[in-house]
Amino acid sequence: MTAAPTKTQQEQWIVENQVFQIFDLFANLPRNAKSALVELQRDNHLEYLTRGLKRLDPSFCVLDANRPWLCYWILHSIALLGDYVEHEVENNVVDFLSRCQDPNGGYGGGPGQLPHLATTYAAVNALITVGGERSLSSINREKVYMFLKRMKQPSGAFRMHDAGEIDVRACYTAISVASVLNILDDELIQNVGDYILRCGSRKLVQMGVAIEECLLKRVIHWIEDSLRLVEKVFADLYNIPDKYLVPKEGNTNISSAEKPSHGKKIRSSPENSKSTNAESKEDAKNAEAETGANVGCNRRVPIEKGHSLLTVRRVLILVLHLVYAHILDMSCGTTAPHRFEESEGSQLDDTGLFPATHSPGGCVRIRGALFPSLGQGKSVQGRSGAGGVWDELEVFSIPNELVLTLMSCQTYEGGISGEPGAEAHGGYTFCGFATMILINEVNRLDLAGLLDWVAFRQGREGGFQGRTNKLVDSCYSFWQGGAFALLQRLHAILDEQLVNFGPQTGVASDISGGEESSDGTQVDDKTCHFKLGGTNASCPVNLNSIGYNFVKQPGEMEALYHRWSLQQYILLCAQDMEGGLKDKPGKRRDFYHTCYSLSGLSLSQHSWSQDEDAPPLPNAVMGPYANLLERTHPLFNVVLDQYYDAHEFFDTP
Amino acid sequence: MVRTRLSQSTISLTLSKPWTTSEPSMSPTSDPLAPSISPPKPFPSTPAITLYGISGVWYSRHLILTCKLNWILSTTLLRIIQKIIRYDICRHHRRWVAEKLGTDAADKELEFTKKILSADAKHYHAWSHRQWVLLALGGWEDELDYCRELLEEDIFNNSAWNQRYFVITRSPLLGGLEAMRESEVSYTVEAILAHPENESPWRYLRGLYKGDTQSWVNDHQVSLLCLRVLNTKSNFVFALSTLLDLLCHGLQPSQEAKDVVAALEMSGTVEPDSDLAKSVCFILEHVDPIRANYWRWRKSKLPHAT
Repeated sequence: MTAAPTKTQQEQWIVENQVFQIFDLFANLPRNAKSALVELQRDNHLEYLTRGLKRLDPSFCVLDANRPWLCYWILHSIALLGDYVEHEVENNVVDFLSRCQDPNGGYGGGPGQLPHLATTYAAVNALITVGGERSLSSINREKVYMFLKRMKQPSGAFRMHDAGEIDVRACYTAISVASVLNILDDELIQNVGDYILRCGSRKLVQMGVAIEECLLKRVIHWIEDSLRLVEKVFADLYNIPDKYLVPKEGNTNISSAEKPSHGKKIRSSPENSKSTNAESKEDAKNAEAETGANVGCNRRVPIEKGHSLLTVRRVLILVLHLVYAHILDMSCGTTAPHRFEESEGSQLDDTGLFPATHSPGGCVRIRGALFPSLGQGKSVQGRSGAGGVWDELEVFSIPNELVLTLMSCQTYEGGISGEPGAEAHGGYTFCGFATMILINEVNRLDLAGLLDWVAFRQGREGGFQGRTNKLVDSCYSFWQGGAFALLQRLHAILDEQLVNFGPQTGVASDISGGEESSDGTQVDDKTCHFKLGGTNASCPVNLNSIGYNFVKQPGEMEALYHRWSLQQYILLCAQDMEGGLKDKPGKRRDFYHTCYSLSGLSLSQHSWSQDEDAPPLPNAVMGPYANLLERTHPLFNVVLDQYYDAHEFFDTP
Repeated sequence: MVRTRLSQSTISLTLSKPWTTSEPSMSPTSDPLAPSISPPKPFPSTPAITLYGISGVWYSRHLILTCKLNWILSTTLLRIIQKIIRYDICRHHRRWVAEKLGTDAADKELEFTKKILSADAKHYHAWSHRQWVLLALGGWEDELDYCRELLEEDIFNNSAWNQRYFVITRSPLLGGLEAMRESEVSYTVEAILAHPENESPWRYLRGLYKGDTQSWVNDHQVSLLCLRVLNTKSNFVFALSTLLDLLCHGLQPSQEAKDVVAALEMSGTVEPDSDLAKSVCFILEHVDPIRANYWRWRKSKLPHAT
């Protein structure tokens, strides 16, 4: 077929041309020149980085939400290069990040900004990279823990910030921070794995509700406020009970329309009930109390205003009903056309609006999409509690039983996506993968599938692409390359899955690696084998040691990508002549790419060290041996020495 | 007339109240989809700015929907007022308005994401948002067509393939993965034959049998497809890789398969092996050298032929 090249093909060819031009040039150089070209330009990079750090002086722009990230990217890059930052600058960074720390926990993008999981991750990692007592003790761990708890969703996932997005990256940043600070516990890890793998049960309920909790609450708030406002205006200005109002159109439509269609009161906060005598009197009393006005007489109200107020009120209540109906359609899985027929008569709950029980059976229909449902689910009946409308909303956020889907963040391709249903993506793959390891549930992932996907993300250029048929980008040297570094230490689980053609459910991961011994041999004091239903002595895995043990154990298989090609791409194509690293030829350098290219380079150089104390052999390092970077922790991406110091420091609970 | 006055007073009464400062304006005259709200940036770039009280910098899709919903609610109020004065507030109208709310919102959001995707057909968050809209608000009718359109434009667009998978597995208008499998396999095979070097349809094909590996192994179409591509002797990495996976899952290779693979083995460079899977691994090591480590590892993990 000689069709015109597609956009994907065109873009790919352009990049390949540029890259291969560089490679050809390199190949044809004499040896000396080759050596120079493939050298890591340490001095240039360090200058670029230190200048960048100094530019973060507090006197500069306060609206930038990126500064904790910049601190981390720059400091981590400097640490990878094996260099240090002046004390004064270090202190400035620590001071600055302390000011970013929210009194209620977590770090925001800048002083006074809302705490955010991503910036918390960056700040914590930056402070660990700085290291030392002052830096590490500046982290208020108790408050961070409380912040993480606040961001924790009933579904198991984490929200990036108040009313922020929920995705795999949020899970990673939260779990990583908790793990590295030694504050990870069962509550935080609960259902995280479920979110990543059998994702979005509750999220789907929320989605099925058409708007997330916060949003919905705001809408309901708005309606309720409007209703209250209407009442207030009515009470304040007119002080007249309903029955004295004569509708302008002279028919009984309005009064019959006043009744709820099922003849029952709407159950929610008291203000939302229909205008009744009692209510008006109460409002009148309130009005009197507030304004001190004399509310005695029954005046005839100007019809238009009264009518409009009442109609407005009815409209608002109707809209409120609609929102509820909408929610309920979603969660109870009745399709809109049929719901109201079904809900006649006795099946309503005490509000008169909602079906009393969940529709039984195997399937729940959410906005038409079919999902298998787990049994009868939680009904919306019999909610008590003073919270009024909020009670109803809580129902939709808690129960797993309402809807359970098999929609996973590990896609059909094998990689992991940011949200269930989305495309497999390198960044999210790393985040999801690292998270599953840290919560000790990595055996639930299809590791062989993941490996197959990530193996094909390395292109002819040598670098990695983020998604299938996308362009190479040096930052994926870490995100995708990191997945290999993680897989290296999971060969036992990988082997088991190969034999069984897939992930096991219900068997906890064995993070300590090595041979699977059936006698519960403890490889390390801090962890031990834990098998469900096994005969050996089981003990709970210390969650906070997973990160530590992971690096301590040697990788017993080689990294399954082409390390040399990756290093070649980074050194020849990603380095900027004036310092810093960049996405690909033709792009501009930035600190983000500097950080992750160097991180990927480091992982690649250290990927085949069986003994962690012994430095890599020269054939693991492309170019002069001076290109060797410091080792980074493949789960947290913090320089290993700094990580060990922090681990020791935070070891005291 | 009364109605116009009603509507005016409605707006002023109910929409003028200042909520928290992070609320968007309630006025129906302001366009909630103003261009100042740009879509969120793709991962893993800069995080959203999260200043308290400054709504304009929330790069959240939900803000878009907030604006949208509030706008819809406020405009719907006008329509409802007109309806109510005439009719009972009966369930049919509740249903009608509920559906309308959903449908309107869905249409607008799908249009919105389509615009973004016309500029960047692989925009990660636009796709995410689009999926969310479909699940939450509906609008599935044209989605499979839209995928086909995008794939006609660019058969290499993995996001479109991913969306196609999403549609065939999630759409209430279709029968689910198994019901769609046959037609999808045909579609995918055609796409593969047009461009065997295109990874997307190969992974999609595998995905069509998700949860039912045996059907995948037993489906002759799959193995025949591999052989067909292998026979062309070009762009056959994915064909080989798929064949390897099939063999690992128990495919009994035909003589034809063995012959085709043998024809690929370049004499001298590859050691002929009675174990077809091993041969395939050898060939892959040579024709796909960037993944040489991976293929070697696969070879080491082959179930040993008894």
